Amino acid sequence: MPVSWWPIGLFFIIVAGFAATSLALSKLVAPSRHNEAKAETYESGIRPLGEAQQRSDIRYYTVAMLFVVFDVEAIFLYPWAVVYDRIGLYGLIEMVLFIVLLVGAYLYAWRRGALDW
Amino acid sequence: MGSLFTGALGAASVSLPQPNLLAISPVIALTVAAVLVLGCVIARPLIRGVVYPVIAMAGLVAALALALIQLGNRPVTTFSGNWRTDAFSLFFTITVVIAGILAVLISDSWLTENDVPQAEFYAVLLCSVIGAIVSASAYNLIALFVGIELMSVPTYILTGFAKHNRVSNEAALKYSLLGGFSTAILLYGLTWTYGVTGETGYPAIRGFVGNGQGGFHAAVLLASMLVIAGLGFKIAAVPFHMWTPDAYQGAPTVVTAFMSVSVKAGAFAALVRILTDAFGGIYRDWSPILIVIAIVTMVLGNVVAIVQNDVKRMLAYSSIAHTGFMLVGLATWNPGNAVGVSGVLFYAFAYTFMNLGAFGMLAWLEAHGAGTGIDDVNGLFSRAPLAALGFSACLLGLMGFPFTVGLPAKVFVFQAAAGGGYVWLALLSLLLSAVGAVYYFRPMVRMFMHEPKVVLASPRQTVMAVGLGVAALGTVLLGVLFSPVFDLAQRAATGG
Repeated sequence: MPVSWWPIGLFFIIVAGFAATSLALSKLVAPSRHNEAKAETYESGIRPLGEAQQRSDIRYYTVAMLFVVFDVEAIFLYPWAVVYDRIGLYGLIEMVLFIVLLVGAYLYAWRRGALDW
Repeated sequence: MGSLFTGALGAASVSLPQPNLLAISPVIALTVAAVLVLGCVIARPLIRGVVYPVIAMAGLVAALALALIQLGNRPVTTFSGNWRTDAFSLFFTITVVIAGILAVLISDSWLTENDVPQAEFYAVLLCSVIGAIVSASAYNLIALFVGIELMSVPTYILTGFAKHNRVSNEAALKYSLLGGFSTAILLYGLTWTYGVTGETGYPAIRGFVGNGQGGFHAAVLLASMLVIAGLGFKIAAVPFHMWTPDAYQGAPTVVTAFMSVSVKAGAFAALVRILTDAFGGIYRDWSPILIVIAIVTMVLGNVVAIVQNDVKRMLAYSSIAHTGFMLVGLATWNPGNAVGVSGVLFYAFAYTFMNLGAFGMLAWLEAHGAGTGIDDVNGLFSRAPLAALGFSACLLGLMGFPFTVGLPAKVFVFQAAAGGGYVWLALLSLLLSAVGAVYYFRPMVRMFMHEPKVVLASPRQTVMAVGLGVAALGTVLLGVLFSPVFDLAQRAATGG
């Protein structure tokens, strides 16, 4: 029955209340002294260089995606290597299937020109 | 093995899973097809573009055949309990694979004429179909999550496939941001489920949840509510529907046709499975919530659809309304009344033909140089009688007109609601589906009675016409010969 849902409502009230109370308390209790250094981008004192909205090369996304291909491969190769002698041929076939798929992805990226700059 | 390692790694030998490969064979067929399609890019100079749809179609037909031959089999749980192939998952597998087949048929001309990278399109489409199958077959929270993501992420990509179209880009961005948001909510729900029960498998969760009398009841409720919200986004239920009109309107029409049926089917399968199976014991708690969601979804979808002047956007709101109708079937579920769920299954199957056909007809209009505005269908009957008849069949189906599959679909769902003691809900749904007649009739009146406004170009669209013909014929034929499909849906819903 819907009545049994009240703890959920309570949960959300507590969540919202915690956030609101924390913000309000820090606003009330914490001292607030403004000066010029605090208004700078980096409070450590380093002066910011250039614009905040800089263009970055869109081609970096292919680098990121290729990284994922090899990263995932490495992640799975480590546990596989640890138990390799115990899972034998079964594990070998599984890993060959997996690597073939990844090599396929790599070849695909290469043929689509992801490696040309 | 040296004794040096036994201390560190434990003496127990690694138990290898004994996967049942037949159970996942549709997924294997689709994966092979997806990889082959991309493989053709590697061998590009040697292979011509026409092979891409052929490979994708071969994979889908093979998957359909592999699902059909398993229909009579006993339920199989494999991959350490992560995967369950039974009549339920096979029913949804068949549904989404049919959606994939129709999508490939209607997409071909759009891809070739707009110079869209074909191999990627088909590979991503196949991945989404695989994800929907995994969602329907998942018997474990982690498999469920993988399936939902594998189904959703490709649709974000497909939405933005018209790379040089700003509207398509905007739709893809909105869809992926809100989709990511909903995924986070779903994941939060799954985390709560695991946190409370300490289990990820559905049977174990069901055992822990019991009938809600045990401890941690509030936490279990929170988990189920978050799961409903997360999956509510994917099926476009109000109030989680905000992305739907923009994503459906901005996406290339062929993509909208596909994702409006396949994602909905996959997410509904996941929702039905997790609610009736893992959380089946506390149906008294989630059922009122779903009834409220179903009512607001039906009301908002049907009412807002009336004022739309763009057929594509109108169909987007109509798809929200249909989510509401389907939710009625699920909301009135209880362990003794599974008729509603069989209604949901039948509805998802029927919806595949009606809705894919309706959006597909808009794609056909676009391929002939028209737009998707309400004026663009003016006088279609005098220009292209068959197209107008097919479009009308799909719209009548969505309306729930007799002699179309829409009528039995609605009747089964509403009957289940009435049988479950919710006569008022069944009557309300009936009333709201009558509202649907207002906006479904509007383009039809214009097709048959108005003077043509747009001059249609006449390119040859043979493959597309086949796809639309199948969708329209399916809508009409299933309206008469619905009993085999409904029997199957009934068997699927009762765990056969």
